[in-house]
Amino acid sequence: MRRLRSAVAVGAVVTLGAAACGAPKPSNSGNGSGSGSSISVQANAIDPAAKGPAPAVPGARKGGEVTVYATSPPSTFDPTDIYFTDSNEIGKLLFRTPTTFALRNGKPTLVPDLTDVGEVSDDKLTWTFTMKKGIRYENGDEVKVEDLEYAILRSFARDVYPNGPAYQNTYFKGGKKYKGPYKDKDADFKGVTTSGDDKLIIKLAQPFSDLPFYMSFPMFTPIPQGKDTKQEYKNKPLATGPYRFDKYTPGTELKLARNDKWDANSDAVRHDYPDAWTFKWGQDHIKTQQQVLNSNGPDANAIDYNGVDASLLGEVTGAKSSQLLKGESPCTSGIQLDSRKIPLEVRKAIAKAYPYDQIWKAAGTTELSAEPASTVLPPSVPGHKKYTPVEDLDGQGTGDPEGAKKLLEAAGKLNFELSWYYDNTQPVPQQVSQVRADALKKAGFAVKPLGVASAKLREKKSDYDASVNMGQSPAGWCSDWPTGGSWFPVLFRSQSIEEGTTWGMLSDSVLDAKINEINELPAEQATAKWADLDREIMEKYVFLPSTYSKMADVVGTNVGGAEGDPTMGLPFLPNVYLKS
Amino acid sequence: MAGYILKRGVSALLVVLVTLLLSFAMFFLAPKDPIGAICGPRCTPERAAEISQSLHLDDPVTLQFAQYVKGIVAGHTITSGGATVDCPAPCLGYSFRLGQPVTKLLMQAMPITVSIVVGAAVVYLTIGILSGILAARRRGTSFDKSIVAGTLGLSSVPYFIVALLVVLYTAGTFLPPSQYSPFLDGPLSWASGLTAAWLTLGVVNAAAYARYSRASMIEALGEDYIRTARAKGISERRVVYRHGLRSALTPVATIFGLDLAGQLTGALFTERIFGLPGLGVVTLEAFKTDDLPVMMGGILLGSVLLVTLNLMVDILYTFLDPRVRLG
Amino acid sequence: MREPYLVVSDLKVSFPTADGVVTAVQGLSYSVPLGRTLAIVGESGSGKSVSSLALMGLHDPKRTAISGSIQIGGDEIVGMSQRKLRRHRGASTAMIFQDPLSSLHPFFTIGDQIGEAYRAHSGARKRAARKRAAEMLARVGIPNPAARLDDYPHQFSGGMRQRVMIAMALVNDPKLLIADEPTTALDVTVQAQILDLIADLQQEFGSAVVFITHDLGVVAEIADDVLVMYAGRAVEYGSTEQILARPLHPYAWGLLESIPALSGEPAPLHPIPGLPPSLLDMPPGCSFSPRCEFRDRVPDDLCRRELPLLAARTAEDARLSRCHLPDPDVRFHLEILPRLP
Repeated sequence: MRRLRSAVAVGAVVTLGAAACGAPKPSNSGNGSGSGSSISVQANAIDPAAKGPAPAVPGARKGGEVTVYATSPPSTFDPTDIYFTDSNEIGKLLFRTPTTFALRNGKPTLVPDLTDVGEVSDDKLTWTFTMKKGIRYENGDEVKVEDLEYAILRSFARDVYPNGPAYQNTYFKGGKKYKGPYKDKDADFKGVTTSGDDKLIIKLAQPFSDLPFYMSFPMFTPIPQGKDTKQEYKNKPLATGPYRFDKYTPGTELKLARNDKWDANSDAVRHDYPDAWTFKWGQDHIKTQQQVLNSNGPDANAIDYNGVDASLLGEVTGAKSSQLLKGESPCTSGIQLDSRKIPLEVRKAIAKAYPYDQIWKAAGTTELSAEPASTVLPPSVPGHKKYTPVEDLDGQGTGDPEGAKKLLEAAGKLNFELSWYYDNTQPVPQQVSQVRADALKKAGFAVKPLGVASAKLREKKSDYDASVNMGQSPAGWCSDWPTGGSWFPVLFRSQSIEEGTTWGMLSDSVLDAKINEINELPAEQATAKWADLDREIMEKYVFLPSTYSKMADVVGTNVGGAEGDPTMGLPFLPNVYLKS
Repeated sequence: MAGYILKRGVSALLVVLVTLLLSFAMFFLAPKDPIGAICGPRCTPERAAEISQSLHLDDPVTLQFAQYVKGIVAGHTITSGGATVDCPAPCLGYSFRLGQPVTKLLMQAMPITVSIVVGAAVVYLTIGILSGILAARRRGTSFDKSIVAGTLGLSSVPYFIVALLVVLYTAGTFLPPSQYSPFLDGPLSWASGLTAAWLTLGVVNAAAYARYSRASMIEALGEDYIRTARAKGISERRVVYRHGLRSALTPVATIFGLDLAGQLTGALFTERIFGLPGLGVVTLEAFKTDDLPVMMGGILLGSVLLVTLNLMVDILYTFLDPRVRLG
Repeated sequence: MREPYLVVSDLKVSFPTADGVVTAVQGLSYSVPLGRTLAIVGESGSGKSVSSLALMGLHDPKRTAISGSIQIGGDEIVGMSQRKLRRHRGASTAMIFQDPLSSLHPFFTIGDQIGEAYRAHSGARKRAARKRAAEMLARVGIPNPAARLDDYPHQFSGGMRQRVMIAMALVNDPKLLIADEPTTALDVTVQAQILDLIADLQQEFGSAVVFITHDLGVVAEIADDVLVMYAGRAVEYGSTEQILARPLHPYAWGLLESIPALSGEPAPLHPIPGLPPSLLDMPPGCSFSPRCEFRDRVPDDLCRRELPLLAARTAEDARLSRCHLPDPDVRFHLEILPRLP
């Protein structure tokens, strides 16, 4: 699960609602035309032949300095430790990775970057990536395939880099035991090796057809062993992208300058239109958004990626709608029902009684920040199919207490007790819990919401042995990369319970086998099968989807080329330019 | 006098110690989840235990306190997993959220706050005292009345509204955009980036200083010794600006000392609205993200600043008023 | 009689207030020659302090209306420009105030304050002014004067502070010294020393002194002549001996009667009944008439109808009184003297 760490996310823990999302448009203006703002479906795509330079953004020119505002500072810029979407998006300006996403008509397409998109062996357990020649770090040194290898080894030092993504631990051969190059200096780790001066070889413990997608994470950017300063590396990471660290004040400001060692001809995705970037954190988001909308002076060159505040709704849908940047985000939120403790008939009754609309209102959700959800996969993930929603799982409506009561009576489960944890120190979660309790009570359930303080909530919600039977974490999920492979195997296998990332505590060996089977297919073939599985899982009523998050950010009047990055739910930075 | 200052110094030190204890106690009593805040959403029990260990959360409280104090005095080494971070004195701990020593974070924020507060002080002292004195000298005239009305009007508008209006509608147009660049990188860009904040904080505070100095000056000019000074036959200017001002400014200087302390620790609105990441913003962000080491450090530094400035006011007062110094 | 150095004629001082114009001094005339001391006696609010501040030109010209004439050494003070007035103040004319603590600036050393007065008129340099200040401190009897120049007012006792004030007033050898109740705030023993000092210095400098007081004991000690003021007007004028021994005005009789005897049989005190009139609401006729026990002895209700003139009422030389009562000397002898202790 990947989350944008932001104040917005803290406030909306219940719905996960971290990143926002909206309709991608092929044009550069990026804003919706008003009526057609619903989320569009993503097509799966890998383009192994993509080559640099990246196609020019129409109308783009070089020069100027872009300011980017956000309330919460990214927690780290050590590429190995980056998992949150904010640092990941900024990383797209700094770090080149074996593969990366290009936006084609607003949709992510996986393209080669430092390497090709990889070749897999027949047994699906060995991947070979071939590196391009002549790519240099900001200091002029050539990137070596050994640096790629070292960077991957480094990610196993989870004691130093605990926050980065961890798929390599389960998928890479020997990944469960290996502790990284600091502790296990002489370890005989065979998961990652090199061959010749341009081949990176990854050996897997189990098939991992989405590996080329995973290789787009900043974690896979090369780091020369000689330059590894461990904890200090985050303060001055070595750049391979079009920009490099100029000045970094942790927690408050980051200035990027153009990296003149970056070669546009080798890069199929990135541009270096602005001369410099300044990221500023720690300011009130309503204020910075108003500043960006006013676009006085340098604020005309600014982007705010906090997610537009509801108080500015009138302004951004009215006169200043051209400054609203809408896009998709890779997330679905809702509430999970513990299938171990609640029988199917009762789960159906909950769905019938569920007050989607009231909760939408109580949580302060707006049309800009979300759209009602009815599937597991959000529209930004290729394979999302907008099938007719399973009954009562369309994320809308005020609930049908009479109908729900009838279902309960028929099942002989009137007064079935439902309980969940909620944060009793924050107003919004309290309201949401109250609204939910009222509606369920009316439908003939006995409800027992358990209020806990913020400090204890994390522990309680992630305790799958707790006495509650609904609403445990996670309450939502975001793609790590845009395929079903970063959803279904994570959320619905039996082992998901043990891994602490289940929706509904499903423990069904038949389902496990089915998921594993699709997961081993090449991405192109898997896509359609994930869509079918989506509906099959929804019919189990283990998760009541409520919203797909949307991205809605504001940009200054002089900012061009801004469009939503559906893989992050943030503005796609490499295409941004300043109009004058 | 030395005894007096010593006494005040000792009590100041006691206040700092009490704050140290309280901010330390906060770490334990606060309804916060420091480990969760550091560990993030995918916290393994292993990692939680490690953080707990590196924060010394498992040691007896007294030992932890001793460690903390020792860090401030002599510095210490913080272990984070397999690696160690050297934290030289004065070590206020390590922000796991930002991956930086607290001292570094605070020291990088401090010049910003000091720049804002000192620059604004120049503005409000100049405008405030000048207009206050002129109003006092022309008491009852339309100039005086407009100063009084203006100061009342200014102080009845909430500060953050004034600041927001300035940021949203003037910065970047007829005022230079608000930003911070270190003085040593270029005094000109330092000053121009801070102009909006200086003017706003300065003019709003000038209202109060105009009122203080007007009242203080009127009182001073009514004193018997002013009549004595006039009876000596010295010029009216000398009467007002030597004899009157000298007494009128003594209480203003006291208020200024306390205000300065308050602003150094409470420039939060200014910093946040003008996007200047000073001490207030850093501490507030720490509160929002449960970054306890930074919270503690921020509170401790704030109290040290407050107490030091209060002490300096007391010492300054002994120089300003010989009756205190020699009484 | 020598040429008078100070001549005040028909002086009127009024202030506009929220309740109307207050005329604190309503036509005052007197003169003082060099070498003489005139005591101005009266209750608070009688106009004695206001009239003496007028001599210094210390009233705020924007808030005060002054008419009549004040001539000091031949220069007309009323209507003089602030610039010229400043040259008079502290030079030809100096003033000592009632409360030496509040009248000295608490934040400046006394050497500084005395020196400043000297430099304002002599143009002397700091060093010379300092030397002069030390001389003056020695002159007024402050021990170890050079060492005390750097002390602040609060480091002196009350009597010493008043000596400092006197030193400051006399630093430019003024020809006219105005002392506004200079001993009121002091202990009785210290009072006597200060009075002696002023008397001595007057002898030495030969200046004219206007001494304002409400204390007849002080008057006996220091004054050559006495002017009694009541409700903004002079009601009696004469030599100290005359006024103290044989006053002519019923108000002056009242003053004598209200002094407790220091020796002999204790006698009942006779305070003057009633209160002085409000300056905003003066009675018609004689201002003292509402409190005067003799007003009905005057025929035709004259006291209530007509303001008496300040005029000679007996055969004595230079004795003036503002009272309609006939034969005041006889009345004093027959009716008042027996009542005095």
